[in-house]
Amino acid sequence: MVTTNKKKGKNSANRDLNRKYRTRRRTKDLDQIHEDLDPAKAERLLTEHLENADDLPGGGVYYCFECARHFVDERCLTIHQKTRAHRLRLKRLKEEVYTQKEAEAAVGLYTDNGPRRSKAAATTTMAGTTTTTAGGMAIDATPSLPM
Amino acid sequence: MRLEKCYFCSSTVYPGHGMTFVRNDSKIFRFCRSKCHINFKMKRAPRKVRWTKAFRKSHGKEMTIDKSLEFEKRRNVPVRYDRDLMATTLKAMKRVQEIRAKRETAFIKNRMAGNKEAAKKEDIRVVQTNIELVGAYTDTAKAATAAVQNKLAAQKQLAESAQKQAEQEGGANMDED
Repeated sequence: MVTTNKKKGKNSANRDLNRKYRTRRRTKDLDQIHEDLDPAKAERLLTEHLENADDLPGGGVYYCFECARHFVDERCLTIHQKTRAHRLRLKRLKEEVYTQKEAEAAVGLYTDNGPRRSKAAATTTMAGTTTTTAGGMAIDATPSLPM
Repeated sequence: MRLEKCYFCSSTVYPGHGMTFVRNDSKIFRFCRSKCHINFKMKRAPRKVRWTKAFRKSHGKEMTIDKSLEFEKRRNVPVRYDRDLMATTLKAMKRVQEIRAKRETAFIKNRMAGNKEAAKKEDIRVVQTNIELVGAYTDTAKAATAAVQNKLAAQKQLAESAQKQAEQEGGANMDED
């Protein structure tokens, strides 16, 4: 059998993809953008941009919050806002943010820390004086579930 | 030991498996395998990727509302070790697992219930809308089957008449005895 040498390194077909997905090239995630759209956060972000004006395109003034992109001038920004990519981004931002919590809920995992207890009660439970579980939920040996 | 759930596909991440990504805002993302990590890097939405639990749940592919799903809980308050409690918990876990499996199969069976009829209906519809395509075929097929049937009938008749003749001859012989 002939073994072919798979190209690696700078000439590999995956080169551009690998570069695109490098951590240092990471663009903002949708949940971060959702936070940025909050007026208070947006203001903070803008002042931050203006402080670093020298390093940013257009002095950090022409910023598209939804796409997390800087533009050189007003004209470029308005042109961008008419593009398909921008409109698609708006559509995606309308959806609810996906979180780890949702991932866990999908397999039915929720957090149950039991009822809130006072400090004194907590210490007695830890000392083992009460027989109920610390989670606050008694576990039946045979859960009475109809089949 | 804490078993985490994968951010992308919601499967369990066992210690020493998968990878953890910490974003520069210190938010933690856990992945069960490189497949999930790559999909995350590609910024795919787990709710729209068909093989994730999030998709299956949100599209009614799997049982969501059921009492048997509510037993597994994350507890951030430590429970003092109690041998009896441990024993009953283990017993309960087995039983809950059994019940859940049974209900899940019932759910899927219920979900797939109308599929066969729907598929048949669709097949009939396709044939009827494109009947002109099968017309030529049915004509020749009809002719061919008719020819075969005629041939078979002729053979049968021949055999029957031969048998009759043999019987008659046999009967005549018996009379002679």
